[in-house]
Amino acid sequence: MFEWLFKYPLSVYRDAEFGFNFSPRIELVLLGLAALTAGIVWMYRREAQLTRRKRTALAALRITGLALLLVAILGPQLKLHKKEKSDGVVVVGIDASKSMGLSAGSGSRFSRARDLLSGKSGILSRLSGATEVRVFAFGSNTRLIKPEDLATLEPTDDGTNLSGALKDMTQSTRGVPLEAAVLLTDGVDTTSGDATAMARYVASRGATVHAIGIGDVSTAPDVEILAVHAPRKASCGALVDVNVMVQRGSYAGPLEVDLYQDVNFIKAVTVPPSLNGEPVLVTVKVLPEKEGAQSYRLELPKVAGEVNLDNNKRVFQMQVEETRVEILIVEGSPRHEFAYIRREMWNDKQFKVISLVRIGKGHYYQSGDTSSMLTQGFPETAEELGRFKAIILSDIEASYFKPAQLQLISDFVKIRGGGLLMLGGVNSFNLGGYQDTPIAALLPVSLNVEHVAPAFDDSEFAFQITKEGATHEVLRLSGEASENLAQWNLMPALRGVNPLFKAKAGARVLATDSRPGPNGANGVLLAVQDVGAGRTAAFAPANSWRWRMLRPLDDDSFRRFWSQMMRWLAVGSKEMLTLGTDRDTINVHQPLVLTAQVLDKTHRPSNDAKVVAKIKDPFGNTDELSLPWILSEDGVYQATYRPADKGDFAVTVTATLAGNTLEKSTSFSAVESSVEFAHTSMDTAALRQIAAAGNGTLDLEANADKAVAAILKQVSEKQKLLDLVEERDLRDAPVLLLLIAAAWIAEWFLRRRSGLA
Amino acid sequence: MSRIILIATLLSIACLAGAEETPGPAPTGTNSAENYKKLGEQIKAAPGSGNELVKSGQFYFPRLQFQNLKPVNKPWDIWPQGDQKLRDAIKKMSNINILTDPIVVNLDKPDELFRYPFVFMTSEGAFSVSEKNMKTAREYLLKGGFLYADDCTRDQVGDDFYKSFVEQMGKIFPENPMRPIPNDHEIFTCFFKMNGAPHCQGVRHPAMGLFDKDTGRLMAMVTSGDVHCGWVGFGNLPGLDRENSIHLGVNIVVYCLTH
Repeated sequence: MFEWLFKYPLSVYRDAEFGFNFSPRIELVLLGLAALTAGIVWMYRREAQLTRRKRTALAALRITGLALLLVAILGPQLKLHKKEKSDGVVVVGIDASKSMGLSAGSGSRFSRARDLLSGKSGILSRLSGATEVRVFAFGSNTRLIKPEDLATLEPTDDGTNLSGALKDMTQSTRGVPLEAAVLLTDGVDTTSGDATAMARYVASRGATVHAIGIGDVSTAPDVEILAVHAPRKASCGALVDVNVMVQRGSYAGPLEVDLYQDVNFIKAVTVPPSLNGEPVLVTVKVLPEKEGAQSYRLELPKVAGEVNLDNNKRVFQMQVEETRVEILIVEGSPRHEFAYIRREMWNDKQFKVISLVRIGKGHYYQSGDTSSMLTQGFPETAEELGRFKAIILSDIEASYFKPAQLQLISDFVKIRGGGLLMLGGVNSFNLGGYQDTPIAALLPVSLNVEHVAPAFDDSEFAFQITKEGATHEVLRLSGEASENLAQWNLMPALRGVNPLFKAKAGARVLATDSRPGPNGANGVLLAVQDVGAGRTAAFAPANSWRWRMLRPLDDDSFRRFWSQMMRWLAVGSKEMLTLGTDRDTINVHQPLVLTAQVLDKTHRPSNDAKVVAKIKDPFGNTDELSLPWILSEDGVYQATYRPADKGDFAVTVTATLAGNTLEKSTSFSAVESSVEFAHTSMDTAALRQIAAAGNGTLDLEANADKAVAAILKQVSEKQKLLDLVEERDLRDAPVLLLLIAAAWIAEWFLRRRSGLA
Repeated sequence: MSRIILIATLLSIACLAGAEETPGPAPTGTNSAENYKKLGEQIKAAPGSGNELVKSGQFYFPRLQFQNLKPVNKPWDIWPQGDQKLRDAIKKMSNINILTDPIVVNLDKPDELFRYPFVFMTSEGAFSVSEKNMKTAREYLLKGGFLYADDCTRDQVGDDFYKSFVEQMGKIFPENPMRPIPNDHEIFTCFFKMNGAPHCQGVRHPAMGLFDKDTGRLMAMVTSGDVHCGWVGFGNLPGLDRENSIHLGVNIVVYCLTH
C-alpha cells in the first residue's frame, strides 16, 4: 500500500534524501507562497455571505491544493547515494632477493614478509576487500604472481632492483587507476637505479608508495667496500690507480685495505679516517706485470665485533696488454727538443713512440718501429696513419707534406679522434707555411694574424701558466692549483719561440709568454682545443728540454708535462674495434651485455661487419655468440650473455669487414651474488626516501597495519568521490495527485454547500 | 824528457807539413778559453756555407775545459780547427742547424754547462775530476747530456787521456762502468754506415761507452785513436782516416740529437 501510494518502498525513503529537481531560490518560493496565500485570503474575504469559519476553511483548502501543485511543479525526487567498489588497483611487491633469506628473529625476512601478506587478516586479504590487488615478486626482475603462489615462493634472486620493481609494477596497471604501491623489502638495492625518482613518478600519477621495512637495523660495526673503480684495460708495467670507496660506518679504528692478485697478497693501503661518516676514497696503485686477464681482490680485514664480512671484499679484473699508446713524431731535423721529448716518452711504458726524423734530403732516421712502413716518409693512407693515437709535428714545414697527407691528418683528428700537437721551431706554425692548409683549421691558434708571420724569437722568456692552465690536466704538477702555479713559477726560462698572438675562439690558452706582444697581449705559448672527435695543441716554445737540464735531477716536471700532454692528446682516439661489457663482475645467470663498435678503414662506423664473440667459461667450454648491429646506433653491435657458472670468462670478439678481420679480447667474472649481502641491515634511510617521494609511509613490519590502514583510508576517500547519486522522480507519485485532488474536491463541496458553486 | 820534446817537435812539424789544408793557427796549449774562442772565430766557416737542406733547432759543439794532472803540450784546447771543421762538415752533410760559434764550458760552472746538452773534450794527458765536479758530471749525463772524449795520443803512442777518462767515469758511475761499444751500435750506423770507430794513431783501444742502465742510451763515449786529428785533416799523418773520423763525428752528433 505504501509503495503504491508513494511509488517506492519505505526502505528507499529511509536511505534517500528528499529534494527537488527544480530548485529556485527559497526566498522566491516563500515570496510566491506568501503572495498566493494573500491573494486567496483577499479573494475569500470579498465573499461577505460566508461565515468567517467557512472563509478560513475554503482559503486553507485552496492554499493547500495550490501548494501541492507547486510542489509537483518543482519536481519532487528522492536522491539515493549508491556506493560502488573502486575500479582502481593496489600493487603489492614482495622482495624475493637473497638478502631476504637472512634470518630475522623467528624465520627469515622473507617468511615474515610472506606472513604479513597471507592469511585472512593479512595485508592482501584486507586490501582486496576494498579494491583490486595485484601481487608481484621482485628482485633482479619483477614478475606478477598469484597470491596462492606466495606459499612456494623462495628468496633466490641474485639482486634487488627497487626502481625496476616500482616501474614494472606501475606499468602493469596501465589503463587502470593506480591507488597505491606497497613494497615489502629490506631496502637492499643492488643496482644504481633511482628508486626515489621512480616513487616520485608514481606519486605524480596520483598514487602513493608505501614501504614496509623487513629486517633489523644492525648496530654492530660494519666496514664495507662500497665501490671499486679500476680501468678495464691496463698496460703491462704501467702503474694503475684503482680508486676504492670505503665505508667505515661506526668504526673509527685503524683500517687497511689489502690487495691480492689471485691468492697472492700484494700490499696493504691505509684507509684514512672518515669525516662525518662519509665514505673514504682510497687510491691503490696497482702494477700489472703479466699480460692477459688479471684478477685482483681488495679486502678489508674483519674489525672487532663485525658480523657481516660479505661486504668486506670486492673482486675486479683488468685486461693487461703489452700494447702502448702509439705516437708518431715527425721531426724536421735532429735537435735537442726532439731527443728529450722522445726520450721521456720512450722511458714511459704507457707510450710507444715512433719517430721519423729527417736527417737529410730524402733520408730519414726512423726509430721505435721495426716495420718498414715509414721508410718512405709520412704515411699516405688513413689505414697506415690510423695505428697512431697522436701525431706530433715537430719543426717541420707544411711543404714537406703532400696536400693529401695534410688532409689525412685533418681526418685523423676530426674523424678518427686522434691528437695533433705542433711544437715550436723555425719551421712551425706561420714560419712553416701552415696558413691556408687543413692543419691551420685544426690548430687552437690563429695563423692568419694581421701582421706578417713574425720571425722566430730566439730570446729568453718565462713560461707563464694561466688561471685555466693552473687546473688543466696537461699542466698538473700538483693537485692544488696554487701549489701547481708555484711549481711552474720555479721552472727555468725557455729560449726560442714562435710568436703566436691569437688563440681561436673555443681554444683554451694554458700558458702565455711573460712578455707582451706587439698587440699588447702576451703571446700564446700553449693552447689546446677539441676538434671534431679529436684534440689539438699548439706548443710554441722550441726548447722545453731546458726544463730537464736546468732543474734538479730528481725533478720530474718535464716528464710529467709531456706524459700528461700525450695522454690528453690520445684520449679521444678511436679503436677500429672496441669491445666492452656493461660490468666487470656479474652474478651467475644475470645478463651481461657485450658491446662492440666497428670502424672501417676510414675510421667511420660500419654497419656491415660480421661480429662474433667466443666466450670461454671457467671449464674451458666455448660458447659462440653472434653480435648483431643495433639499428639505433651506427657501428655498434650488441648481444646478451648469461653465465651459467661462477668463475672467470674470456671473451674474444672477431669482426670481419671487407675481408679484414679484427680481434679484441676482454674478460669478466661471474660470482654468486655477494652484492646482495653488501648491506645486511635494513636500509631504512633509503626506504624512507622512497616512501616520502611517493607521498606514502615507511612502516616497520610490526607496524604494517598502519600502512594498510593508510591505504584503506586512501581507497575509501577515493570511493567517496566516486559515489553515484540516483535521482528518483516523485511527481507521479499517486499520493501527490490524491492529495491535490482531495484538496480541490473538498473545496468544491464546501463552496457548493455555501452556495458559491 | 828531452827525447820526448824532440819527438813531439818533429811530429808537429811533420803534421803541419803534411796538412791538406792549412789548419790555421797552431795549437796553443795556453789553457785559455778566450784563446780557444778567438782561434775558433778566426777559422769559422763563412756564413751560408751549409747545404740547402731545411734546418731547424740549434746545436752547439762546445769544448769542455778541464785541468790536466801535469802540464802537457796539448791540453784541453788543442787544435780548435778540428772542432770547426767538424762543425762545417755537419753543416754540409746533414740538416742539423749547427751553430759555428766556438763555445767553452766548464764543470765548475754547471749553470752554463747544462745549457749545452752535448760536450766534446780531448787532450793527450791524464786528468782528474774533483768530487764536486764528479757530481756535476753525473747529474749532467743523467739528465740527458752527452759527452764525447777523444784521446789526442801523446807522442802518437800515448793513451793517458783515454785511460784517465775511463777511470774517472768509473769513479763518477761506480755502479755502471764503461763498456766497449759494439761495432754495430747505432752510433756507428745512424747516419753513416761504419764498422766501429776509426783509428788515426795511438794505442788501439775499443771505443768505450757509458750506457744508461735503464734505457741503454749512450751517455758518454771515448775513443783512443785521435779521431779529432782526423777532423783537423793532417794529410800525411800515417794511418789518418780523415773521412771516417768526420763520419764518426757526424754520427755522434746525430745520435745525440735523436736519442
